[in-house]
Amino acid sequence: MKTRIDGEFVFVLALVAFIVAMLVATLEYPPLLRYTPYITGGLTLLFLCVLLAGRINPRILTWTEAALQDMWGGAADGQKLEQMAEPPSSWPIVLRVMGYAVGYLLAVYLVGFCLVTLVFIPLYLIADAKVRPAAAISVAAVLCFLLIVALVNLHVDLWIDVAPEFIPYYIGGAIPPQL
Amino acid sequence: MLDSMALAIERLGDPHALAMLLTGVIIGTTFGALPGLGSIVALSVVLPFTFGMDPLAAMYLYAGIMSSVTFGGSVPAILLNTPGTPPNAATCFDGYLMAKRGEGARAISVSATSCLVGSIGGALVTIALLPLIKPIVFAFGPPEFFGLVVFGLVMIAFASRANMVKGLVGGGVGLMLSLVGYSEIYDTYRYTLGSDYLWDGIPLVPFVVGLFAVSELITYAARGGTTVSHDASETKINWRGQIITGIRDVLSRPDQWMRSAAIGAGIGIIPGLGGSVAAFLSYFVGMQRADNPESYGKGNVEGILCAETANNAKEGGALLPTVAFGLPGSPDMAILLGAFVLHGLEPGPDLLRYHMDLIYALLFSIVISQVITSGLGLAAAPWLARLSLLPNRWIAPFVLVLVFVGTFMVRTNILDVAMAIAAGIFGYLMRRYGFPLITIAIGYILGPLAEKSWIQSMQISDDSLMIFVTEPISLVLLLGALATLMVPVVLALRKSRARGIAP
Repeated sequence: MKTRIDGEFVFVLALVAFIVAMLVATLEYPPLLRYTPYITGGLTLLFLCVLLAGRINPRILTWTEAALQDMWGGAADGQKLEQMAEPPSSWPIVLRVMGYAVGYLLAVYLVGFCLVTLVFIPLYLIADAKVRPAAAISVAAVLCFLLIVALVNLHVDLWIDVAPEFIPYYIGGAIPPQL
Repeated sequence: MLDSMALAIERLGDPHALAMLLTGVIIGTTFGALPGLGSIVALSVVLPFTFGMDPLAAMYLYAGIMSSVTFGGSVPAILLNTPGTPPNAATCFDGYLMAKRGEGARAISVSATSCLVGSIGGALVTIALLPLIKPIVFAFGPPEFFGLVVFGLVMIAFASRANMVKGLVGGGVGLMLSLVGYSEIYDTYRYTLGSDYLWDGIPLVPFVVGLFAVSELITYAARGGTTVSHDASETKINWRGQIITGIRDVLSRPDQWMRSAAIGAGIGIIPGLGGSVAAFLSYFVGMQRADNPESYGKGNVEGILCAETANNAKEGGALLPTVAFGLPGSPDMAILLGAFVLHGLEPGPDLLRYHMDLIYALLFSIVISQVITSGLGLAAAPWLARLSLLPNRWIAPFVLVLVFVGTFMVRTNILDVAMAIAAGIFGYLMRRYGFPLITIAIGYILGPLAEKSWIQSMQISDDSLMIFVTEPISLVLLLGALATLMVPVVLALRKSRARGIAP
């Protein structure tokens, strides 16, 4: 019997490590604060082990799944969520999208919300959504303007960048929160 | 009582009152539709502006906001799988799949109609229970809370129907994540890794918005195409016809919306539970009692009905302890309480004795605001639903910006946005590998309530478990939870034994 080492296997292993780390940390806490992590963490670990064991011997997972579904009335047609879901996108595309999200956050942190949003939306629309540059820039400009006007009128503070103050209250001079 | 009601109705007939309600509805719907915002932020933003206003006019504005936020939040939940507010997460499960089938307008119509019946139901329950409120609120101590929350946690098993092992893992992970932060009972920080940011735990809004909205954003931006599946978009969609179908869907199920309204109002009365618990509990009670429970989570109108009705009915229920004792039933009621004080009104027996007309005016204005919201929602549904035909990659950057603004605005902390993005990436991985997000959300929302009420119960009883048995409400709730969990097991055993005996 061969173990399939793929993304899911690695992810489940990471979850196991996470739960074990939490359980170990629980040892330091007062007795009453240990009950919930022990009970929950223990059961979660058990089910994670079933998932891992299912990789070595798929019958273990199938049997557990069937037993649990018998108990609590699983999907009548026996379908699994994965089977119903659409095939996932390829990793390079997913990582690119994640990169946009993380990149946007970092850029806003460094350069401020107003400036980055004005650049980010048209850039994304042109590069990824294949919208014509003129349309992308005008749509982004109008929407950003409306958003910023609404937020300023509602007296909502926007994140200004961590660089030295450039335009008071809009660009520069933010105090980074403590991590 | 009737005099107070008549006076309240007369005051609501004033065009100025209706203008305030309409303003509140527009603000509430907008804040509800923006992921991460919701009634707490909307009320907080509006509160300073009402300082110089007539108290009644301010109450109308608040009522307009509180009653419309839920519907506003359901629109992105249906069209983008992005809950506008955390309680709308339960609407995503069926609403988004309906939108994918090209039934976005029907789903919005179901939501608008459910919000209206929920609001009316909540108001009726509130009026009926006004004289009985005191014993109900005081009957709920830590053991009763624990019983109720355990009942809610049992939902995890039922929410995992299609994928039991992974669903239970998701519930466990959600519950473990909810334990991060400061425990005031023992003055201890747990799992904070020395981070100041984690002292308050993983914040609810960034976590839920990230888990659902950002993970979905990654999914659809990577996939491209439109929300409406290719097959559905090829056929001509009758958006207007769907509105009538949606209204009929709700009105033809009186038992379901009455039950959901009762659950919502009941949860609202108990301080500290809130809209998420109401929506999820109603959803799973509906699922358990349905003829075809396996269709829940696959685009069943009943899923939206149960969640949205309860979520709206909660407002009426939450108003009860707020006005009767000054005990806010939810965070937005806490802000309303502040508004009462700001306008010189002291919640408590005196408010009930001398300003009953104000209470009725607030209650009726919640219902009238909901009529306005639902009317506008139904009228706008065909156009809103067309959003589901726009290419996903056109929508993605705007949703990301809204998530940013929404999560940042709550506490004006940039780290909340980072948390939302991190929760989104985690949610995407969970989703990609088949772990249902709903169970993570249930575990995360109910976990702290369960632990807190457990510890408090143990402290009250000097570590004796008998407290859960000697308190009648707690005993009934725990037995109910046990029966919900065990009856299917016993039935399955009997069925398998019968199969074994049969020739």
